[in-house]
Amino acid sequence: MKWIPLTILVCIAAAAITLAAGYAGAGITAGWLAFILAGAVWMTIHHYTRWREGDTLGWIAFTAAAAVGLLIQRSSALMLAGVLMALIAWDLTSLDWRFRSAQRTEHTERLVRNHVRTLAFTLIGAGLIILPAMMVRVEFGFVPVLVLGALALLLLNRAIRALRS
Amino acid sequence: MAAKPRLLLVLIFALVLLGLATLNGGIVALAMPLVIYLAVARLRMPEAPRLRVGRSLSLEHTSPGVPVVVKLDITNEGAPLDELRVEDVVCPGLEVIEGETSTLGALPSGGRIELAYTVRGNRGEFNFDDLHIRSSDSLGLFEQFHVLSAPAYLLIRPQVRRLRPVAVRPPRTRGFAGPIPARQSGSGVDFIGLREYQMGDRLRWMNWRVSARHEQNLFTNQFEQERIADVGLILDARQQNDVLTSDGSLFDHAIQATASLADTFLEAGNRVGLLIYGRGREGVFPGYGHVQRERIFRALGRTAAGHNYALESLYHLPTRFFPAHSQIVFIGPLNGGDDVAVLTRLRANGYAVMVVSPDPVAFEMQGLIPESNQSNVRRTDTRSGHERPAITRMTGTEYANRLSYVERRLALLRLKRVGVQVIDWRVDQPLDQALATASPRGNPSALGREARA
Repeated sequence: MKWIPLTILVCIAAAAITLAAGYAGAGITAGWLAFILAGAVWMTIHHYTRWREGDTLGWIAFTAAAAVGLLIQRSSALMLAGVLMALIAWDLTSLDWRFRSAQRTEHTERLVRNHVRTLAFTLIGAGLIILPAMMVRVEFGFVPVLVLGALALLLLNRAIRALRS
Repeated sequence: MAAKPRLLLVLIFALVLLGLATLNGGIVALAMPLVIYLAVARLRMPEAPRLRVGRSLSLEHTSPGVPVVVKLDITNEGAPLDELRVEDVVCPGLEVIEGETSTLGALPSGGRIELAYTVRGNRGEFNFDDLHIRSSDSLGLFEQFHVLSAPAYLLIRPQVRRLRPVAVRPPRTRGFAGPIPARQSGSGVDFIGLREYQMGDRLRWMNWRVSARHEQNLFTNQFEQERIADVGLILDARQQNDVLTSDGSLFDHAIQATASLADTFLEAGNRVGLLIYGRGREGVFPGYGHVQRERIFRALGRTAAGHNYALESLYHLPTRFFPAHSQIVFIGPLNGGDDVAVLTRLRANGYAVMVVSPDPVAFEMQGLIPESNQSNVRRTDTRSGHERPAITRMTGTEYANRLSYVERRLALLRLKRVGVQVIDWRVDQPLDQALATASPRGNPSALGREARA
């Protein structure tokens, strides 16, 4: 599967460019340069070293940067696109590592087809659902926010329990 | 929970909290792709796989260093598996020289995976069993680990070196013709005595020189019958007598010697039994031929040195295991006075005893003293012909070596004095060479020389 490493590099570059564009749109030159540099570092780490945690760190850093970008009122669509690209890159690096660590592979096409299909379904679905949601702005008072926060915590708690079981 | 889902949960939790804390819906929405990603992975988590596993080996019994092909056949009898990692657990002591022991792939319902690899190893008993199976969802987040059983057994017999016929002289032999002098007159090769001519004696057996000295009588030569004998091999597998160095274990050399001796005695047609004295008292009852050789090799292949408080001394040696007045061959480094006393008692009970003793002192010193210094600390004794530590440049270790050497020589000498055939074997030399120096009747002049030395 020679296309996987290339796709990873493309996704990292796309994530970096998208986030950089988001920051550049707001006139923050330092942020723009920082993303280009961060993307280059992630690509270098992935391509030239065997440091597996480097990919995870890159993905977390990009997601955190997107959150900061939203916090300082950058473009929601670009930030979301950046996060999705970073998630695809991280997912594919994980698949790539699994292939690299295997001595032999069986029914590879089937495995990759299943993986890509699930990933595409997940991310396209997520993008389609969330993008309109980000465009819509609804204002809540303190109490509904509190209730929603409690609900979110409750759901997370249930999710963790379900995952543990 | 695996690390990746946990990391995703932490990130989701952090984003949601940050969004709520800053009242920024966009940040909460940013967590949604991660939530969906995690949820899809959880929904696609596979059920427990139903796999049928078969393992086959190209050989079940083999010799050290011979390649053995291990084949695994895995069939999916359940639902399709999006991602499956199969890893075979190779027994410690075996080296994989070709092929792969693990594979990654998707396995459709009814699909098959075949794994094949080649191993080789040294003497031992190897039980293949565990097969590690990891099945996960197609995103690789949620993993299930299973251990399947695919048993197979491989026995690597000890290395056998061909030896020249070993000269033994047991007091009692069996009724069939063989290579061992029977101490009885009859058809044979070696001259044993004279008797008066009797009707039917062959003329070519007539001793004309003696007959010429007597006016009325004729004399014929008598020859010693050669028959097969009972040979009992006793392998000393007591842990306290084993010496482990970077070069290996002295016990392995003792096993190799036992296998070679068993092969030689059985090849000559003798009835051979084996007793392994160490962790327990494992025995192969006396028998003949190829089947018996295979039994002995199997027993030697799976044995290991072990400790048993009850069997620390040779006093519990079951002497009745071997027929009375048979030949006993004890293989092992001697341990102090107890061993000598027991072997002496065996000799007194009427057994012919041979001791093949791998030299533990020389073996241990080889591992302790660097190669470059060895020439400085050992020299050949001109009187006995044995190597011994030189007096020059002696350190504490060398003093200990010298004392051990003297103690061992004295123990061997005590055995020789009671008529035990002693083969002092330095394991870096061929066993055949050491056996060639041994005489079944002993060499009194050499014994006297050593005693004086």
